[in-house]
Amino acid sequence: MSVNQHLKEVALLGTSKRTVEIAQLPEVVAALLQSVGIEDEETRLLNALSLHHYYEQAGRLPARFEGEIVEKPIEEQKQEIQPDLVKLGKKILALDSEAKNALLVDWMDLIVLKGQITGPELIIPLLSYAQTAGNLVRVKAAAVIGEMGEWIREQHEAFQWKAEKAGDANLVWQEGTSVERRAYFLEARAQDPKATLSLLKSSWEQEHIRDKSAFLAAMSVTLQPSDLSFLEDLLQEEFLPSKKEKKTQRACRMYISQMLLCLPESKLHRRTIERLAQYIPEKKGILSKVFTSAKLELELPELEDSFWNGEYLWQEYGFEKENPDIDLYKTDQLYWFSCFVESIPIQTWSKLFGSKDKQTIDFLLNSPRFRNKLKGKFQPGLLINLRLLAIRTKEQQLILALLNLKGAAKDPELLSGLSIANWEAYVSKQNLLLISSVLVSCPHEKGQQWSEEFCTSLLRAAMEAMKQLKLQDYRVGITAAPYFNAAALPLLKRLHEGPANAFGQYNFWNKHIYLPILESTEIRAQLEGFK
Amino acid sequence: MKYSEEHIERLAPKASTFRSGKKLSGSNNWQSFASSTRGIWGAIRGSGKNPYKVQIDLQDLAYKCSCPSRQFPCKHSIALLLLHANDSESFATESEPPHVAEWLDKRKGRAAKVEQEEQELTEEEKQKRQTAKVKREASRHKMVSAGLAELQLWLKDLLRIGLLDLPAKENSFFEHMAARMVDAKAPGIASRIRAFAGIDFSQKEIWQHQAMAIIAELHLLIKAYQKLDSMSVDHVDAIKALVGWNFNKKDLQGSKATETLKDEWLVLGSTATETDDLIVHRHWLHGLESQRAAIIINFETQYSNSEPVSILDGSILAAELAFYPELSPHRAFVKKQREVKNQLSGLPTFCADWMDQHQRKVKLMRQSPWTNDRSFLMSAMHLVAQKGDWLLVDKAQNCKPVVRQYPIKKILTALLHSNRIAVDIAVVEKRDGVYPLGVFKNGKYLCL
Repeated sequence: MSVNQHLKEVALLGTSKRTVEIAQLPEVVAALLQSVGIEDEETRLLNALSLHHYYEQAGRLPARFEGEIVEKPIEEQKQEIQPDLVKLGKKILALDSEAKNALLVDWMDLIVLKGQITGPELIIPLLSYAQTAGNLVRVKAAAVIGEMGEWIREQHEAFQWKAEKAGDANLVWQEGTSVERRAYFLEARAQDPKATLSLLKSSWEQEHIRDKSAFLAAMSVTLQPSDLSFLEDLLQEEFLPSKKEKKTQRACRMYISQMLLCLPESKLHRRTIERLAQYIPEKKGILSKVFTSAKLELELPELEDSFWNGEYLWQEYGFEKENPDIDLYKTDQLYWFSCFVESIPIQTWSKLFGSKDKQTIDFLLNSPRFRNKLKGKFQPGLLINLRLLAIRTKEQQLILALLNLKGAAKDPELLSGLSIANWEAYVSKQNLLLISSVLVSCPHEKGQQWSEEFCTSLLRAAMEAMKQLKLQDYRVGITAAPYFNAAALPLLKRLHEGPANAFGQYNFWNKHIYLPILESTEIRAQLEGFK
Repeated sequence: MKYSEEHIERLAPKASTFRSGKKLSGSNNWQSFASSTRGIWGAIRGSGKNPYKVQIDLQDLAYKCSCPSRQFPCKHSIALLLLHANDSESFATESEPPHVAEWLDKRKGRAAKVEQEEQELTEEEKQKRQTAKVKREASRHKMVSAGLAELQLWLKDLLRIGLLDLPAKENSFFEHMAARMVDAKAPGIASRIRAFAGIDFSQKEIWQHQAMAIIAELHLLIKAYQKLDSMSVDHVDAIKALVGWNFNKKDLQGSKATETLKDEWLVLGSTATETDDLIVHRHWLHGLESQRAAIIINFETQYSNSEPVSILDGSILAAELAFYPELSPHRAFVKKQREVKNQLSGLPTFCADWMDQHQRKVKLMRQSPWTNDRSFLMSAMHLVAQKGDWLLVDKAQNCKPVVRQYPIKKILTALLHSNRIAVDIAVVEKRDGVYPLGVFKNGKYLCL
């Protein structure tokens, strides 16, 4: 037993059970202890502990390292970026705006274009940011951190995890978890639908049915005419109805059929239109066509027939066999019809009804036969389905009609379906310029800016709100920053130096509108200068 | 001195203050700004009716701002410093406005004032003060002695029952005795007792060792205090300081017995620890000529700032430090500051390896067994990961662990600086390992 062990034992068990044996202490400690004299057992232990503590501290030599140390300095093959670009990178990383991600990607693209690397100063901040950023930032970051960055990444677990996925975006597809793969698919699909479809085709056979369903759901909101043959093949070869069909399989068939219904070139679309036409009364004579054009008709059968019957519609389209929500749809037929409304474009309905799009929308939205009563109020019964159709097809007239409904003016999903011109005109007209949740819904693509006119309207609206002390959304500046048109920058500065100074909400303006917009727009201009 | 952005970031009390300051650091945010050889000043529009007036002493870094913020330095001071760091050419050199000149003069005159005050006292007044001081000290000595006697009994009780019961004790058990020591006017002892509450009792080997170390050091301190009468003046003051006797800076500044040392002091780094609304700032300094280590400790509460002077990590203070009475003087305060530099004129002396450092540490312990938190400059160290711990390995393959709570980002920064080869490094030796403060690279000192 070592001395320390002996003292430890006495101290842990207590002097009532054990006593210090001087013979077990080192000579120096024992001699000192004896010279002090003995008062009582506890004092003796205290003295022994004190003496031994310092004896041990003075004698405890540094530990030996048994591993091997290899001295091998890293020599980068690529040149580090110039100091001005480092400074710009720091500025971007310090930003607190929606523009940060896009600017950072642009900045890293520039470094890659120059065939350079960031240099040590920015490696850790960049890796830390990429840790919580999307796949795109990670991939770019991996390309600019150099060998030193790669080595640093190996040293930290949180960075290592990221490294597995960062080298090649396809790695996420091949090795990522279901959640990561779905997120990646959605992100990639928005950027390059054709390439993403090829990726999906390449691994389709091995996918789990749950993932298949999720990918089809993601496809349905980014539907392209080029998806047609893939979807038709799927419907014919993989998702034909069977008696022992699982719920997910049926859901897949429904996703596919709804997408095909949306594509006028598809066989299913044509077949369906032919069947539906039978339930729309034909206006025969010229007088009837002239005088009754405003009144649209649809004759849904009261009893099941060969088309409007649960079994057929389940097999052909994957719809539920019975109406699942009696509050929303009064009859089974109305439920099935709503499924068609959700998928078939307005233009096709107009052709069927022989009407204009506006009339068709009005009919589907306001016809008393589709209305239902919820919480004591009459509401358009097909509203949910029309909204889904609008999101899927981005039909401008339909979106605008839905936005005009009470309480729907700020619906972000509908707003993002508008064209750029319609979006800017709608937001300006409705005076939604200072609502960040509206601004974030803009349909502009990466790198695309708002028009100068729109930016001017936004700044004028901010001034007006300041005058009335009504500026309250602190995210306006950081949301506007990525899209702000540099041509409106002189006006921003002029307002800041002039009228803004006179208003009570100057600090709010400065912190939440002026600075975020100015910083991002200036950085964007600087980045352009480096190109 | 012109400060770099990195330096200024370290000055900011919070990361958010730095970010806010940065947003205001564009020249277009300032209504006016200018500089003189001594300082910089400016006016910035804030939420108040009048613009805030900001002034900064660049020679002996200090700030003043008319904003109501309790943060120190505030975002406006940070913004002005950043503006100066990034765009000093745009600062017009002007004569100082009266309020700036007055403030800078006052700061310069503050140190001289203490000596002057002391000299202005008559012999009678001095005698009166001395008598009152002796009386106060005698009364306190009585209280401390009684408190320590009680503590000794408490320690004996602990050891009679045995320490195995310790993990089951509630915090209040230790806090009660610590509070008793505060009442007995021995706050230094109280903080050592509070260390029991900080032990991680889930780690069997470690808690037993740490508990015994605390008891051992406490017992030695009690014994030393009990034998105060038989000790030299130096020892008496040092032990009193350990027990918690406050030494007034004013008294120390005026006393001829106070050790002072003029040197260029490299600020190796700092830490801030928060307990019960009290933030303790520790700044480790190294005298480049004297090769002396020093620590400056400042205290800050929610309502008070630690010091009007800021000690910036990585900077070099050309200053005269006054040391508190200790057996091996370490704690100090800035008595007079001449200037602040940010360039090393030469490299300090390093410990060759861990054995060398160990011998130096033992030498210090011989002078004062209670020596702790000392900084050492270590030559040619490798930072190596092993079984979840980081080690600093010297060329003789001896090593010491880096303390477990050390931030990983700082480890990675040190690795970046090392570029996979040995690097000179400044560390503080703690009970459970070393705490790296910065590295020397290409003749520069880089804080971690």
